[in-house]
Amino acid sequence: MEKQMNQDNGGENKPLKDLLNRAYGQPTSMPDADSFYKDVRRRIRQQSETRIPWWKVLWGTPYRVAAQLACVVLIAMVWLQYAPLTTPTGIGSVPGVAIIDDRAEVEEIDSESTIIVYTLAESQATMVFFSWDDDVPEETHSSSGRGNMDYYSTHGVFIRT
Amino acid sequence: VNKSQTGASNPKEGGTEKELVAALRQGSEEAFRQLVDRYRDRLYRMAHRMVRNEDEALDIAQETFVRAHKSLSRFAGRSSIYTWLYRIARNLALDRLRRRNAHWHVSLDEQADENGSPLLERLPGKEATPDEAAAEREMMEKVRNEMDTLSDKHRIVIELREFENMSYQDIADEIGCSVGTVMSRLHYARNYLAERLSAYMDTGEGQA
Repeated sequence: MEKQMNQDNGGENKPLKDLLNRAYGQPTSMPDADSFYKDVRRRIRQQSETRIPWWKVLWGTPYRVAAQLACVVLIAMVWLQYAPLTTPTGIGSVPGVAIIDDRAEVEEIDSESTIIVYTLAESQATMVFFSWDDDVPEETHSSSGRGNMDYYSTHGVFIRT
Repeated sequence: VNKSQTGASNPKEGGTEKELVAALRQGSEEAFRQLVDRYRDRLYRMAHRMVRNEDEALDIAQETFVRAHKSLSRFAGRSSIYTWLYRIARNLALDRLRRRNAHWHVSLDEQADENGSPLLERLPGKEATPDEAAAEREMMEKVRNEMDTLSDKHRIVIELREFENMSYQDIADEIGCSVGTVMSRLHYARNYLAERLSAYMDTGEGQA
């Protein structure tokens, strides 16, 4: 009685049941329990043997772009650290001026050595120290002492005051 | 690997789902065997209903257990174990259908031999006229499409009831809800399908 009530509550519908079964049908045979289980175990074993290495998984996931970017940044940093430095030119020919960090290339110095236009190699965006050599005779300087300045850009003008 | 090797405790034969899941998490080989035995046939039939090919259905059912084995540690227990397996199997079957549709499609109306006889008429055991066959095919497609529009929770109960002939209580135990919820979902799913498939149900011959 209770079962019948449950069925009514669930809205048993025989024509619908028949239709569904006709539409989907049933397989003609069922899998053998033992061989099925053996096949499952074999697959598990095979898949664990051919496990994909972590770096391949990483490369094939949405993290791929981030991983590639990180590699590029890493390579760039290593290159910047160890890349051969540009040979500075013109230092020797500039009276009264010495460049402590010689990675800057001096392009132009005015006749009184008060203006220096410099360029850094593109990859060497680092600070540059200019200084006036203390040993330079006083008469070549319009001001006394030593001038130091930091530059972070790759191109600039340093004016001695 | 057995109990003595893993240190896992084996579940009782026919024990509760909680006991089974606990044993599975401990890596019990016996529990995994029980899991396979308990759900093998049902998943196989479910996959067969979707792909309509016994070899592929077998493949899907086996792969379902392989995937389940791999991710047992991630099974949170929020759904019942059958619901979890059902979703894995269904996704595998859907992938299979998508690949099949993308790469291989043979229409039964296509000319299949040099005499120009359609493939449908040459299928063994097929004695339906082309019109009847077309109507049958249309009915099958319509039923499947409507079933696919049901949500997972409604589709599961109707499959377990109409195809597996399980009692309300067994369905409730299987999917981890009350009998009342099962009846309510069934009621909804049946009404939904009956409304959309009434033409086919009335005639029984697919005359929409």
